[in-house]
This record gives sequence, structure tokens and C-alpha cells, in this order.
Amino acid sequence: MKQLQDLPHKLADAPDAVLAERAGDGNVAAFEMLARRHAPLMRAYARRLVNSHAEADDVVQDALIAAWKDIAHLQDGTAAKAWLMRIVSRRAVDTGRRRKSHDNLDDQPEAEAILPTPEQAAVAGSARLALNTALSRLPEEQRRCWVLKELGGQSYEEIAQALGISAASVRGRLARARTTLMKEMEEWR
Amino acid sequence: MSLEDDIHQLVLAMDGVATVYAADPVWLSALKQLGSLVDPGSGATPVPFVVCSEADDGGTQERGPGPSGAGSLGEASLPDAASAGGRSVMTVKIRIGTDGSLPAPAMARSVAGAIRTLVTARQPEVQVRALVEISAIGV
Amino acid sequence: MNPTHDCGRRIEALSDYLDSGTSPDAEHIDYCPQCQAQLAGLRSLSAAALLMMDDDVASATADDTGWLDGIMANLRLESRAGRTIPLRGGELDELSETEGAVIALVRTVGDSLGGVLIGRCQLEGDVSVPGEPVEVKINVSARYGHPLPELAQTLRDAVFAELLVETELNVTAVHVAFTDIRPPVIGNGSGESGKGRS
Repeated sequence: MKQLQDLPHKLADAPDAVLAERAGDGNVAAFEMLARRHAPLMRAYARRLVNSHAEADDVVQDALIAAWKDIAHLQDGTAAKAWLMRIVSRRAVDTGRRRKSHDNLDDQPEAEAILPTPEQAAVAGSARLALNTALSRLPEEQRRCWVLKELGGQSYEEIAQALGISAASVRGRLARARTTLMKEMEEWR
Repeated sequence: MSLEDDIHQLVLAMDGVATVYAADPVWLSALKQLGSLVDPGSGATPVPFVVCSEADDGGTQERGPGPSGAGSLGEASLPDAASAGGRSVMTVKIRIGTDGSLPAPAMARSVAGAIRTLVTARQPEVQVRALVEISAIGV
Repeated sequence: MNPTHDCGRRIEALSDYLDSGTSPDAEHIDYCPQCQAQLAGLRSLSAAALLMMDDDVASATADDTGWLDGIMANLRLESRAGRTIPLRGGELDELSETEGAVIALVRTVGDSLGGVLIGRCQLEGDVSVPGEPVEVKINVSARYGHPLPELAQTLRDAVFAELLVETELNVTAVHVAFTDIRPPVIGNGSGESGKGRS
């Protein structure tokens, strides 16, 4: 057998670009390393875009499968993280679309039940909690735009494409979302 | 045990063979797995490792992935089968990974030979056409 | 607060200014107290968003109950097949290697050399026709401290030798390109070791 015991170490500190090239050639270990590196972020992001943790995990799984299938076509491996986030964005939006078309009781948003009340958040004195609460109260379309932009770093055009609306309405929704969020957060101060 | 299972076991036991892969293309298998996750009621469907299909004068019964389109075309591309005077041809398809102890090209040939020997012992009347793919090469 | 405030500047314009750092309206914005207050609000919103995301990532990591392993199990499949490379065999038989298997082999051979991590690997030429000339192109991420010319030659020799045994390809050249140099392993000048990094 070849001396490959060092491979995990080599992969662990390999830049995304090298991992993406290897993954594009079909190297599962490299793809796994890339996926493990970015999966927590993908998961956190997906949780903000869909309404339950279980749904978010499904989104991440779908996204990784799509990524594995497609990574050979990724031109710029250094942009692998942004590329993965884009895939999560699209998958999450599609999931929301599907849910809307056949809603059932199990799929009701669980977010509101576990979030602290505004008062609790204020007492905790945490801007993050305040934001969390304010975010959960936004109309879904505004929340999505804001999450895609602020957390996902997507461009107006990418958001527009994912949501199937114009870039101008993305800009408008984003402005409304930011206005509301700023207003609500100011109330905690 | 089916003929397919016997071939699977025989090849697995050969020196130099590390593994026998599912006969399905990778993505078909992945989709099937996902399907079974979505619908747990369907249970685990056995993954085929060896695919045997038989063709004779009447055409293919279970068309293999070979060059055959219509039955007649298939025979035209298989002069041996035609010259054998209507002897049916059994196509055996298998995908293996080697362990590096023997060179991969030689492994492909000896796997084809072993399959031919086994099938011919069972069904002397058929000709065997082995499709062996090395899907992974060990070192 | 209102999307349209007294000075008439809308939050969209201020957001754009914040995103891009420039605005045709910069002269006004820079000196308007209302705009400055809005910008401050937008900045603290972004800051809070980053903090929230950090929290989210931390809890997404903490909740890890093998969810990723489950996903990975679904992906743990053999290498991508690529083109079919024919092998000599009996008249009736069709024997082949996949391009993916050969590339994975090259990767393994390269990775086993100290300081080498193989990136992209391509077989150029018509591999589906026996005897056709084939050139191997390999991208390498090297560990700092390994002399590159020697490394390239060792890699070329090893790949040639292995392909000669494991394939029937007519390999006419192995091209090695160093695309990336990784920092040396801390606390171990000799390069790779199984001891890991601090």
C-alpha cells in the first residue's frame, strides 16, 4: 500500500480551490473535506431560509448532492464557498415553494414558539436576540430577501433569479426589511 | 442462489479483486437511495451487482448495454454468435475495483475468463460475452 | 423612522452606498445628520446580522448528531466514471477501465509522495482508441520546502511507472504544474508527518 496516512492532513489544510479540483475529478474525500468545512455555515444559513431544522437539513443534503454532481463545472474553485451558498439559496427557496403548494400541519413554522418574547430579548440585552425576534416577524418574502443578501451575500440579480422576481423588487423588499429591522432593534436600546 | 449471485461471489473471492460495485450507474443508485429515504415503506431494495441478459435469434430478452440496438443489429455486431449457428449469447456485466496486487488489465481478463468458465459449466449451450469494467484501481 | 425621511433620501440609496462605498449622492449623505443616523443603523444591523450568523453557525455545529455523516454516507460512492478506456480481451468480451479510476490512481500515486497534494488531473487525447497518444496533465499543490524540480520529476516517474502497469494507455507525456504552495507543517521541517498540525 502507498503511504497515504498523511492524506487527511494534506486535505485538511488544502485550499478550497485544490479540493474543488479534486472533487471535480471525482475524489470523494476532497469533496467531503470541502463539505465539512462549509456545512455548518450552509446549515445555519438554510435554517434561516426555511421554517424547520429538519427541512434545513434536507436542503443541505440536496445542496451537497447537487454540488457533488456539478462541481466538475465549477470554474473558479476559490469561490467554492459562495457557490455552495448559492446552491443552498436555490434549494431552500424551492423547498419553500413546494411547501406552499401543499401545506400541512406538520410543516407549520416552529420558529415562533421557541423564540423569546420581545421583553425577554430586551432583558437579555442582546442585539442578536432582538434581531432574531424582529426577523421572525417579517413577512416571509422580506425575510428571505434579507437573509439571502445579508447572510448569504447574494447579489440582487442572484436573489431575483432565485425568487423569480425582478431585481427592482428585491431592492424594494430589502429596503422595507432593513427599515423594519432597524426600527425594531432601536426599540431595545 | 441465482447465477448473478454466484458470479458475484466468485469474482469477489478472486485474488486482486477488492470489490464489486453495484451495476447501476452511480447517480441512479444515489437517487434510489434518496427515494428509499423519502419513502421508508418501500424498504431496502437489493442492489444488483451482476447483470446477466440473454440474447438469441429472437432478439434480446433483457437488453444489455452493449452495442446491440435491434436484435438483428446486435447479431451483426457479434459475428461469433452468428457463426455459432443460433447459439444464444449471454451478456454478463460487472464492475469491479482492484486491490493493486495484480495489474488492472490482467485482472479484467481473468475476471472475464472466470465468468465464462462458470457460466459455460452451468449452461454449455450459451456463449458468454463478458463486460468487465474496472471502476477503481487499487495501489 | 421612515423609508422616506425629511431629506428625501431613501434607505435603498443608503444601502447601496454602504454596499458599494460610492454614491453619486455622497456629498449630501456624508454631511446629512439624518442620512448618517440611518447609515449607523444599517451598519449596526449588519454587525448584528454577522453576530447572529456566528451564533447560528455555532449552534448548527453543536447540534451535530451525525447529520453530516448521514449525508456523506449517501455521497460515499466510487469516483466519477468519465470516459471508457478499452482494454484488450477476448473477441466477444468488452473489457474496460474508467477514466475516473485511472485519474484516481494518478491522484493516489501523487498524494503518496511527501509534500504533494494532487489537484486537477486530466487525460488529454482519445483514450477510447487503443494506442492513441495520451498526455497526462496534473495540477499539484506542494508543501513549502520541497524542491519543486525534483518533486516534479519524482511525480512524473511514479505516474509513468504506475500507468504502465495498471493501464494499456500510450502515455507520451506527464505534465506537472504547481498551482499552489501550502505553508510548511508547523514544528516539523521535514514536511508531512502523521503527527498532525497544531
